[in-house]
Amino acid sequence: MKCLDGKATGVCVAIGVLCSATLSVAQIPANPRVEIVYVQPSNRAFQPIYDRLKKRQVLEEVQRFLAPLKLPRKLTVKLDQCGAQQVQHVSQGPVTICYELVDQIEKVGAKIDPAARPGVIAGAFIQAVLYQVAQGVLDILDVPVWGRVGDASDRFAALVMLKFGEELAARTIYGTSVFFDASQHTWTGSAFADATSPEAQRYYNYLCIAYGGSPITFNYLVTTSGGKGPILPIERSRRCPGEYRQVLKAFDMRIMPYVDPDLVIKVRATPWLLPTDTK
Amino acid sequence: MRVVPAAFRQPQSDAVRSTVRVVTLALVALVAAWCGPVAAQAPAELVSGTVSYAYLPPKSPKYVPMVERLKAFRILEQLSEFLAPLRLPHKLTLTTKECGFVNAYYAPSRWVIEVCYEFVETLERIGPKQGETSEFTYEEVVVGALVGVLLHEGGHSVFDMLDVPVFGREEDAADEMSTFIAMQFSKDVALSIVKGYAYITKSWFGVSVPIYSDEHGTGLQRYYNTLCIAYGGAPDLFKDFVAKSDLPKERAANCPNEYQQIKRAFEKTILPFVDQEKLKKVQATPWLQLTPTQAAALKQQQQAQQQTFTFSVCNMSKVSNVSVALMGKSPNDPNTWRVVGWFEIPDSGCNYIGSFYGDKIYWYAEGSNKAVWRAAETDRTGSKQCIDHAKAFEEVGGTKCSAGQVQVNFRLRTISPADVGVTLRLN
Repeated sequence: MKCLDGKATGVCVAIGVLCSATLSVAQIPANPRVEIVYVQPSNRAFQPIYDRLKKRQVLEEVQRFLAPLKLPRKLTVKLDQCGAQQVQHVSQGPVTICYELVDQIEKVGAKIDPAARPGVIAGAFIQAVLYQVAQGVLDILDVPVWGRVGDASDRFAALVMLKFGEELAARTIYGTSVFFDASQHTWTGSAFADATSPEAQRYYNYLCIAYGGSPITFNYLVTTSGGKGPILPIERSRRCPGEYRQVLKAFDMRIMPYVDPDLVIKVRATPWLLPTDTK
Repeated sequence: MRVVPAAFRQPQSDAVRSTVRVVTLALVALVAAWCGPVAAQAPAELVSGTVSYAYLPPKSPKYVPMVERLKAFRILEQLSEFLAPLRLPHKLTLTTKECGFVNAYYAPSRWVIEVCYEFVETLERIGPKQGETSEFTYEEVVVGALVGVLLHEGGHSVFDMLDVPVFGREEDAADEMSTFIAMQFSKDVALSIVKGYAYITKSWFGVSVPIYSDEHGTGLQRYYNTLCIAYGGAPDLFKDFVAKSDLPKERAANCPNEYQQIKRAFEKTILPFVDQEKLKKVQATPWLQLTPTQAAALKQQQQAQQQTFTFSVCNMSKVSNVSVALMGKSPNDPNTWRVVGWFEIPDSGCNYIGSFYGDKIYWYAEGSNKAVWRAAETDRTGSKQCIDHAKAFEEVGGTKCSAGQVQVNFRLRTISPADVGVTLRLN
């Protein structure tokens, strides 16, 4: 399924991830506890992003994707201009996907092989949405979180990425890893005090959960080729099955009681990202 | 690829890596190691029936005095008493042993916590020298950090045995457990453990090149996390300590929330397994108070360490593939100069080389495109020694060059008495 405007631009594809299966997605009810807001950016440079995302009804798709989740109170998901690529989530506050981050994802995408570009942009965009939503869900459900919340949200997001079929898992994890790998951020001194982990660390965290949960699909992460070592060093990869089981256990114990089993089957059966979306 | 020879091969930057997993209440037990008489005052109800222990005899004679000291302090006995409030589903075994490497760890397949004599030895070695800093005391680093590490391992064991759901990275979670538990005791205990743990995460783990693929955070991440949780839980107690650090205001502002997050997680996942009456007794026990004899013993250890220093090398130059050869004296053999090569230094990064004895060290470095750092031939402060470009080498200083070796003039680095951690920067 093509994006509505027929363009294969980054945003179009990213949106396509969510709008591609519009007909099927339309059969899934929007979560009534999920409120969505498109905030008009004051920076005119972000206006095209705002226009495209709103036209493609990206947040409406998020509302449907979250349909199985039984939330005790309202969760607001908004697209906004933040002044930074991401803002720290405040308890009981909205989750925000920043136009600055979407812009950065597209800029990273513009530098890579055109053939891989749509998938990378789509994967990175989905990661951004899932990461933010995870923070909101952990907060609203008052989930006890051991470890840093940002890392917990990354593990949450990686786990969800693996639950919608091999192909979608491969695309989203790949897009996420390329985006983090492209970061030019240098970490020294007090930069390590940041509540968000370094991009390189997050890169390995996503890959580890992916390999741990789906070792066949992601076998390429632990194989050597051309004299180069594996992408995931063996010291880490041998721990990944355990890391995956750990986050899966936490998810099953703390999140699944709030998930409608019938609706989750419908959501999982929906083709959220078709191969044609990234062409 | 060049191989670092066995001599001077030092612990990895994060000695707490690998397995380490103890029991939360290890704090008190470890503390007890340094306070025998106090241990004798522990309530009888705190004797644990689920924790066994053993001081395994070391292979190296040099550790015999340490083992005797640990036994005299009744460290493992005290740890088992400290763990008494926790209702564990399995028997837990505590051991001290010579490992051949620097670590303290929990082995989930055996429900065993093992503290290596090498780890205790390293803590004693890296503790601040007299007059080096007013920010940390030797006692805080040796006792507080050891307790902090045991609490970290305790976190791992509790997560494992109690099947606790851990959403974030477990190593960070174990650090959180360590600091959180430290905060539940007296102000002195909290300060000692938090400061000791902060010291080793910054000054030991934090000096190496970050390994982002590691399951542990970087040393500096762990340092700031520790500061943040402590400050968030007791801002008045830790405001001075945090003020001397470079914890950014933006992070500090959210620290109370981070502490509350951990407190909620503890209350929901661990507290149901804690016997409240026994916990009150543990909290009421004056842990970490050294008797005059024990304080004197620590003082002696500190003095014995006065003539040791740790040595790291950073490559700040534009030269790549830098390797370093050194001539120094090992703390285990302080009468012998040994020449050792090669230690690889990452491009734009650092490598922790190890601990050395005395007030001098000689070094030589080389990298790509024939770049070298050495003393001039006429520099009489240098020391002419043999190196082997082709392979790793290790020999007594002054040895005649063998086939394949060449002689170069090593540069002298003099170590001042206050220097406990020396970093050589190659520019």
